[in-house]
This record gives sequence, structure tokens and C-alpha cells, in this order.
Amino acid sequence: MYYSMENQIVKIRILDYTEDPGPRYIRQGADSGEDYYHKVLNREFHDALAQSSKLCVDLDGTSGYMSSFLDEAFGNLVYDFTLDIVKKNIQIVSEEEPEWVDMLTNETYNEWEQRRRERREPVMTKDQDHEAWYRYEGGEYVSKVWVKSKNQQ
Amino acid sequence: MNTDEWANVIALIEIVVTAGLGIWLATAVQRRMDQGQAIRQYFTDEIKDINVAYREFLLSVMSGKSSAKYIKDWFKHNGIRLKDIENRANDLGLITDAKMVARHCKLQQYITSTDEMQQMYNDDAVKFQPKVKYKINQLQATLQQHITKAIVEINTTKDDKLTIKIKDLWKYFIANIWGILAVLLLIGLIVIASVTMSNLIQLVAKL
Repeated sequence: MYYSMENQIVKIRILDYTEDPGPRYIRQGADSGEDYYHKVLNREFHDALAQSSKLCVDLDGTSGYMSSFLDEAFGNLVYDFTLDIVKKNIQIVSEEEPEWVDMLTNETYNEWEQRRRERREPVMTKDQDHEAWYRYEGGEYVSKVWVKSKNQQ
Repeated sequence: MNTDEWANVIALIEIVVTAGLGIWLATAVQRRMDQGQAIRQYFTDEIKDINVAYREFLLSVMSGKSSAKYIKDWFKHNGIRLKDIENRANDLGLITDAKMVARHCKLQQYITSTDEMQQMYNDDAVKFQPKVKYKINQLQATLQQHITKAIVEINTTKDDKLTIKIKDLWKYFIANIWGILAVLLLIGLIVIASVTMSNLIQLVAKL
């Protein structure tokens, strides 16, 4: 990760998290979209917002993606921060596979915004305790465990 | 040399220059056409190669012999390859509005989003449900149509950039032939003037 103060952009690469992105949920395999969201993306996005910066996520350099990995990671972001905030404050880039960027901005964002409005909470892997994560609630960013897996309830 | 001899020299120069230009034009155009044909053949072969790779890959996927990681990696690798070919063919004007990459992405997005891919991510092979296979077949058929369309277009497009280059070459020749003729005319006039002057001087000397 590095900061570009001129443009107020914080850049991160998924490659720094893993070379081999996995499936949707943690229970399905290593380096999942769910895991990436809770370990990296949620916090990085919040921290960028706190600095009045934009977050730039680079998709390139990995072995390839399952659409479900990206859907889960960036969909959760929309669910927690709203479509409006995400659209204004994130930049997803890929020279190798720009089609993923199109899919996220044209399909995933809208589907998850709909889901957020209908309050259909994201699925959490059972037996997986996520640390508190940020969500835009009542006009502020609140950190807590918003959804509990069954063993936490 | 008298006037007739000078005229013969000029005529000879004209013949040599015209013949030279003719040979240059014929070889240059032929070279361009050969090059164009070679380029068309290259892109056709590349797309056919990818098509074969696709068939083998999907046969393996449909028969439940490929792992989720292999499928995921294959799509990325071959997507980049297909994109490179489509972009270059498009830049050369060999294809317009090709949708091979777009269809590839549809297939990639569909397969990598299926429950089977998630649930059997760590398995040696992913076995798809019949309804998923049916959908894969449909998407493959559409991709196949676009591949065939691209091959046909590459081999039938007339007014591509290669043709335009040949046309440019012809325009260059036409533009230059007038220049060359103007130079020849000027040389001829100078020669005729100097011969006339020489004859006049000789005439004056005799007088």
C-alpha cells in the first residue's frame, strides 16, 4: 500500500493479500472474498475515508479471480458503506482484466445496494469470528460485529 | 551532340525512369498484398488456436475433470490472449465490433460464480449440475458464433487498413509521378535550350 498525497489516493493491491484469490466464503477455501473484505478492504476503505482520501484497489497480478470473490468483497463494502459513498470514494483498476471493473460497477454495486435497502444481511461463515468492522450507520462510521455467525449468537 | 541525339537521350531516360517506377510500384503493391494476406492468415490461425483450446477446455470442464483453480487461472490466461488478438485485429481494421472478449467474460463470470465452483474449490475436480452444463453449452455456442464471425470478417473485409495502405501507396505514386514528369520536362527544356544556344554560337562563329 502507498499514499499519493497529491491526489489524495490510497492505493492497495489485492496481490499484497494473495497471489491466488479464492472462493466466496471462508468455509469454501483459503483467501476468500469474505476473508479479504474483513481482513483488508473494510478497514482500508474506512481509513481512506477518515483521511478524506480515495481508495484505489488494483486487481492485477494475481492468478485470476472467481467472480464470487470480487462480488463478496466489494458487495459487502456497498452493504456497509452505501452505494453512494463507495462510488464516490473508490477506484478499482485493472489493465489485465478490466471486465471485472465493469462487472463490479454495473452489476455488483447495484445488486448489493438493493440488498442493503432490503436489509438482507450478508452471509457469514459459521464458526468464523470476524473482528469488529466499520459500517455507515446513522450518519457516522461505527465499528462493531454487525452480523454474528451461529456460534457467536 | 546534335538536337536529335539529345532527344534520343531524353527519350531513353524517360523509358528507364518509367520502367523503374513501374517495377517499383508493382513490387511494392505486391509486397503489401502479400503482407496483408500473411497478416490475415496470422490472425485467423491465432483465433483458430484459441478456439481449439476453448473446445478442449470446455470438454474437460463439462466432463468434470478440471479443478476450480485450473478453471479460474485458464480463464484469466486465455482472456488476456484473446483480448490481445481482438485488439490488434481491430486496430488493423480487420474486424469491427467483435464481441469475442465480451462473450468470453460472460462465460468466465458465469462459471466462476456457480455454487459448484465455490463448494468444490479445494477438490481435484469440479462436477457441474446438468442445468449448469446446459447454460455453459448455451454460452459456449454464442462465443463460438462470435469466433466464426470474426474469422469470416478477417478474411472478407475489403476496406481494411491494409487496403487503405495500398491506396495510400497509389496516391503517393500518382503525386510523385507528376513531380517526376515535371523534372523531366524541365531537364528537356534546359537541354533543348543549351543545344539551341550551342547551334546559335556555332552559326555566329561561322558567320
